[in-house]
Amino acid sequence: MKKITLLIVGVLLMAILGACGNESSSAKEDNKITLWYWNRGLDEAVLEKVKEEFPDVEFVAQKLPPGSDYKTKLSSLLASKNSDDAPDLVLMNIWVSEYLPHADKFANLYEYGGADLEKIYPTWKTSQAVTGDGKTMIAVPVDTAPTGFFYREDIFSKAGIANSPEELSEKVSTWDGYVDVLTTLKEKTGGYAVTSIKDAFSNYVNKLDNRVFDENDNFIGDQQHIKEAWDKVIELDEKGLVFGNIDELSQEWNAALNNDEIVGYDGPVWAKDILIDTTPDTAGKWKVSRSPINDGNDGGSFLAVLKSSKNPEVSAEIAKFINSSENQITSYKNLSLFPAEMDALESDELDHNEEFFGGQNTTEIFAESAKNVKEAYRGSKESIVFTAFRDELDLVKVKGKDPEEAWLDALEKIERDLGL
Amino acid sequence: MEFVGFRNFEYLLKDPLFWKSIANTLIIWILSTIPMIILALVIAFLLNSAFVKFSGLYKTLYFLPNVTAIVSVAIVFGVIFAPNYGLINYFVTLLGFDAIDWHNNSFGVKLAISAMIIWRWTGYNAIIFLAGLQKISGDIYEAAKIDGASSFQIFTKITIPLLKPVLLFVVITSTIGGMQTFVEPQLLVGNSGGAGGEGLTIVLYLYQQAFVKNLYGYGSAIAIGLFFIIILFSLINWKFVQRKG
Repeated sequence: MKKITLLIVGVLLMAILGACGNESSSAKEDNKITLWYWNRGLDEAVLEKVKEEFPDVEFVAQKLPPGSDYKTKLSSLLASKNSDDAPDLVLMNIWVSEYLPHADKFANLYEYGGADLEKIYPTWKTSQAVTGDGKTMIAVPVDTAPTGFFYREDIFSKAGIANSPEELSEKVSTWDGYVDVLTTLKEKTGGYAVTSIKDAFSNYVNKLDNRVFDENDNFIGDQQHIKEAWDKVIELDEKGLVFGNIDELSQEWNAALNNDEIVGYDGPVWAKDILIDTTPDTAGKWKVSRSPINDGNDGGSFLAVLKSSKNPEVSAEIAKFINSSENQITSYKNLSLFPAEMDALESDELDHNEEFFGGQNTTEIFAESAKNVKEAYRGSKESIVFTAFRDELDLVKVKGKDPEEAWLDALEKIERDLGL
Repeated sequence: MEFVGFRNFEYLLKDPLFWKSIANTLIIWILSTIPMIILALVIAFLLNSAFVKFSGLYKTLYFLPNVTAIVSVAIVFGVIFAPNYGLINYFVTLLGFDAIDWHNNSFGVKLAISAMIIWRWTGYNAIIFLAGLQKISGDIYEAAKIDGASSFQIFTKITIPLLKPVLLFVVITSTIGGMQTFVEPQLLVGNSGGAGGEGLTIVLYLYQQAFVKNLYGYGSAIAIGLFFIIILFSLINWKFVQRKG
């Protein structure tokens, strides 16, 4: 008797469980659009507007943890068989180029009016999401991250370096001028504006029109322009102008800012909010000038539509809507996401005097910077190259490794990794 | 994606960084497991003795670190062990010594990571030991006391031998956990494992290759390597268990 009861219960259970599976797949609505984004990556006020703009779509925005976890999750998703709960839209960061070899996993936005988009965004930005052969566009720009030079105006003027952002922009526009400014800064105030050799190197490369791969994905990181960047940042260190080996935006960096040891920072526009959050005591004492040597780009995100989406057209429309000029302006006001669209940049609405920056309207500086960033092909394997260079620069700074030896070791490692 | 046969494994065996990551993992495992087991034993022994009041409260307190989010733990430890403005270095320099570079000094990194692991797992293992202690019957202790054994003798001659199965369980789980140390070094010194990769553990190296450099094939080869290392350790553990039987 007991056995029979068990059997019946078992069969019933199986039937119920089986039904569960069927139900969830049949209930999958066709008008559901899911978006993956990370905290502060998109403005939630704009996402609310999407629901009003597209009333017959069930729009679901999923907020995931930022940083490398997000990328890991996305990579795993693309590598797996497309499941039913895969998102339609995904936010991507500057590492969008790493996904170009997997362009077949994304909807080609050229089929959904991508060519028109190229007219309204800066070329250096849209090109980051286009394959080397120019045939596939995997994502549209959300924000750009032009750089500026954040500096402590009180300290810089006390040291007699500059009394206005314009004056400082002029002084740091050449490499020698920049070195002079850093030297005076250290001698007169004991302050630094460069925190580690490796970050100085990355920032320098972010200003170049040629990076470490050419458009056919051949490695060119062993050529003169990169070696020159390497030698220049080594020179900074030999002159004692590098504070230590501290990663930008890390806890240690925050502490050094609050202790007036780091008084300048060549960084992207979105770092404004980070400065405001981490150094409340220095409010009003900061100003922004143009970046040293050249304007650069550090970050900036994209929106992509996955190939597996059931509604690629609507998804592409939503992506365009999120990035419309009006919504980009809103996002900038709320989250310092700098508009990628050129029309939005011209808008007076972006201008406002910021208390934290001593009443300066920093938008002017960054808008000018965004117009001057040089177009540079990134390629999909940059992370291999920069990991090797940065690791070796670590050794130069911390263990006193010979810079020439470090350069050769980095190249050897890159050659090996690129061959894997 | 192309088929490359055993090329990734050839590279792996010739890769100095892979061997370094194995050495780092083992050193961190030794530095963290031995003090942790001794500490956990002492705590369990105290909680089990009659003179401690509120033992329930202590059990909860000791278990708390284990259920704390690892990310927040790492942030707090990051502040404590920060090279330039850290709490520990503040006291070190106060006493007139040179500050220790917890992020780049070979031994310093491993010590900081081990401290995090010890803090997180000591309480957990103490609770397991406590369960083992409570299983030992009071009669044996009583008999020993009547025969005139000292507390130390009771501990070494009765408690430890009777705790052996529990001890083995703790050693095995700590070994498997130790081989997979990842979050602590990643949050303390980043994906590169600090200057010269002094804090690079096997799993962190795997993560760096697969998810930072997008070298999935090579990352998978490291995973297979790790699989064999864990098999090796499990065999050694198993030998111990066999001998006991």
